[in-house]
Amino acid sequence: MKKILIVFVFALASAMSFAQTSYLWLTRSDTTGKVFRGILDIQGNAAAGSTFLTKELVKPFVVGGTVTSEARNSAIDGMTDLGVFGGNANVRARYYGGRDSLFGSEMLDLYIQVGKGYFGSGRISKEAFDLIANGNVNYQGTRVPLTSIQGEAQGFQSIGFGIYDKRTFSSIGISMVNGLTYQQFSLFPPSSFYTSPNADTLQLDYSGEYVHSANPRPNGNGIGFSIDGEYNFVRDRGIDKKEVWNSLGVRNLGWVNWNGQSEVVSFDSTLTWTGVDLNAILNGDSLLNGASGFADTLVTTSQNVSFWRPLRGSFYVRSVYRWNEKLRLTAGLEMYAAPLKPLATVGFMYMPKSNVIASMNVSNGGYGNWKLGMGVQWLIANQFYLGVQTSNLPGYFFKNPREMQASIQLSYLFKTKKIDNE
Amino acid sequence: MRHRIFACLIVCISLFSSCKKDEATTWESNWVAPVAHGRLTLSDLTADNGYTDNAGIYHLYFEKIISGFGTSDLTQIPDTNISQKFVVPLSGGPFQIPGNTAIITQNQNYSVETNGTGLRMVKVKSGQMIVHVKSYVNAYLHPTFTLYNVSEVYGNNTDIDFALTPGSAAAPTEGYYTVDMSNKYVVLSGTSGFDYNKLSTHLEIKTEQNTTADQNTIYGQDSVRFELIMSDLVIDYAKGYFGNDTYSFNETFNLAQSANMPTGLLALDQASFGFHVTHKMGFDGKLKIDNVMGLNTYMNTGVQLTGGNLYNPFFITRSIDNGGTASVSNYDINLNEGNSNITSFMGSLPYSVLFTGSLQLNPFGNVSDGNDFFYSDQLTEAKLVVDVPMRLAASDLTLRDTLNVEVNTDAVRVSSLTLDIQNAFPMEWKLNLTTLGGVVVAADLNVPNGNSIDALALATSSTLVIPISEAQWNTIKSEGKLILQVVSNTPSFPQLVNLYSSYFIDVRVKAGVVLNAEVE
Repeated sequence: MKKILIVFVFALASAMSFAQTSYLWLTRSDTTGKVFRGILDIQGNAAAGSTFLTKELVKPFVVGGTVTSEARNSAIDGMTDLGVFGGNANVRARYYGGRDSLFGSEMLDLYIQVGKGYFGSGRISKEAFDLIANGNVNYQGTRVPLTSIQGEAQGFQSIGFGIYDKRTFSSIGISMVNGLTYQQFSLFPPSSFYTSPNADTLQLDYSGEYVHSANPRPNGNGIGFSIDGEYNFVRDRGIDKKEVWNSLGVRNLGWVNWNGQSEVVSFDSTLTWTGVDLNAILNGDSLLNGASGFADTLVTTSQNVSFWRPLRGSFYVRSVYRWNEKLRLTAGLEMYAAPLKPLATVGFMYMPKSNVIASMNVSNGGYGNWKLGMGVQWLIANQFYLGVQTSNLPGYFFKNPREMQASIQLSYLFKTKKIDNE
Repeated sequence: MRHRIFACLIVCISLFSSCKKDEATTWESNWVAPVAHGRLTLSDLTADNGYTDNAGIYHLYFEKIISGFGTSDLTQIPDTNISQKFVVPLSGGPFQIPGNTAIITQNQNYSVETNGTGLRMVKVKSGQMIVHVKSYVNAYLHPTFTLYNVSEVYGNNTDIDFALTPGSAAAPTEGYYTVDMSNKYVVLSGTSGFDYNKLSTHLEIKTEQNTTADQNTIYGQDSVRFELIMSDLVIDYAKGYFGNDTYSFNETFNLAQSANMPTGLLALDQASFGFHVTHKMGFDGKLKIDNVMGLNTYMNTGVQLTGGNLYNPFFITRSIDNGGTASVSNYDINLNEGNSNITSFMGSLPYSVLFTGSLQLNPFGNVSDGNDFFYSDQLTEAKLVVDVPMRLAASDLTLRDTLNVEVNTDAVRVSSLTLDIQNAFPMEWKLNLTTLGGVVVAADLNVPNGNSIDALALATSSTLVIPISEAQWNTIKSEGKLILQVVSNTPSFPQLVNLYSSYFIDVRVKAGVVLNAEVE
């Protein structure tokens, strides 16, 4: 349990920069491309966030306990119209090759990588969440639409390779994806819950679709591919107030074909409850369990089909502007598939030494809204790299933050022969 | 290179693990949901035992057919097995008998069981008669058995032929013949025409026509056995003398089926009681009612209905058979407020009525000379009728009922019940709700009387809110029952009020529910 919590705590701290090339690496690279003779890089990241779900509310779902009405109402008060929530947990190990050349070019080499990831996200309207969380007492005479309720979760493994530029760590690669699990739930119109003005009728319309892969199994339930790539380039390198490192990247851009054991369940039903007929009660029907008050039209179909679904990929851009030797200004934008919002980040990096970076940033988007992130990068003996980061530091210290995230990056940078000889 | 990749994989795998929550995730939400609804009218409250008169006033009306007048009570032909041995009227032997020679000829009247009555003729609705013959004679025999006056056409006979191969004492030969008796007349007056319960038959046994003498070796005293089996005979029509037995009847019928009868004071007006006999059978009878008693076991009381000529015996006169249609005669005993205690009898709130009496057939003997009759589809019928106009006065008239509250989950707790009531009855109601153990959940919740004007139903509205504590709810849930007690009072008791069929009480019950959701 503690182990999980520790992972979770780190995970819920700054993963939005997961799989982006460390700036510290970039500052250590040169135009010869021979600074390192290969890098073993391991990254882990976990995040959970929402535009409305607070830590106080989510915590009982993780460790158990009672979800208090204060926590629920606090979350509802913080909602606008549509609430988004989600989370992910990923690990990736990548080895950047250290050979002298590839395809006759001394600047290129291969990398190989393996990874595993789980993503989940969903959305719900304020009214629907309030209904589920607090009941229908405040919704007499109101029809609460439920069409806002949607959710998706996916898990996959990947193994792949790519080419990278030793000078800038720009890379492009492809991975084979082994789909582990896929779940998607959507409600369509006219899904709603209606409570009549004097609460003499309850009506639940639920029309939608539940798509899911077969039960998880070691061999997976689907096969696909994904593309990862990043293009880094620098302008006026080493010149204060002029140097800018720019990154354009794509991550987990791919599709998975889930196999024929996957199932699509469609449902279209109306459940109406008007209470038990009084005469039935007089004839012995139960006051609360009587069957005479139900009117149900249930139509459910299911079929096993194979289908393609995209991975939860993203596009990102990042710029690091050199203010002076010790200070960098950063800005970034990452685009996700709906229902997540684009994540915009601005911040700065402080480099007390050339091998240490402390960073702080403010961001908005992704699973949640505003957040304050911090991170540390440290290159030890020009060989061991450690990066720790969170996208929302208050998430660890306060009761009502809506996002927790953490990422950790451990790398071993193999020195060049030249450095070995030194 | 390979070592490095392997190191990567080991580190990746070590990052994965799983965990389980120490306790379930729970949260409470507050819901409001309809529980019950409906309109109760007098018809609903009396289980449809009623009708509306021309003035619109509702009447409680109970009608009970008295059993004990079925045909099986009067007479029937039970399953009967008649067996007789016929002996060759010779001595010595052996005798070589040529073909087509009669060796036994005999007319026979068989007595038929009829449960003590004397029948001259019946028409059978269904059933069968089986003739079984068994030959111990070493000859080819041709028995012919005639059932006189047994046929679908009155007066015709039924002939039955057998062809039997030679038999012996050790290995007799047998033959069966089944007569479908449906719609057959059976005359039971014997060969004389004046007997009762006598089935007239003729038997002739010959040697087979195309046989020779050496094929038929017969000894004196050789025998042939005949069996006549009557099975499942149902009488459709019977004529004869049905005797002068006395049949008793003892009937109880409930005025309130499953509901508890109310307690308290109830004043009624113009109630009536009727005992009606429609006689359609061809016998005379003497009817006597011994007792009509109203029973209320809840109050442990019993009131006897008295008055008029209720307990005097009376005679019913035989019907006349008009070629298949029996004439009808009616006999009625009517009790009302003027000639009996029927009003106080019903005012005692009996939950059931006990009715005992007797019917003696033909009290003057066989005056019809064996011409009593009945048709199975035209039977004498007797019924009791109780008619109570809903013109009453009530003082603390208390109705008590047990409601089922079956809840098998801890996920739901009812925190309140709200009753929206529209009452058009000219009486106020007080509601009490208690658990089986006597814990008071609600006491003396008042529903004011309606403002109805004669048959024009004008309801008053009231809302009753019953908070239910968690402790009360746990008690209700464990017991699975709630006791509802409704106390009603009419204004200015004992002043009578009319209850019209248009009166109603609309009830909507909704519950405040605390839903305890739990996720493991």
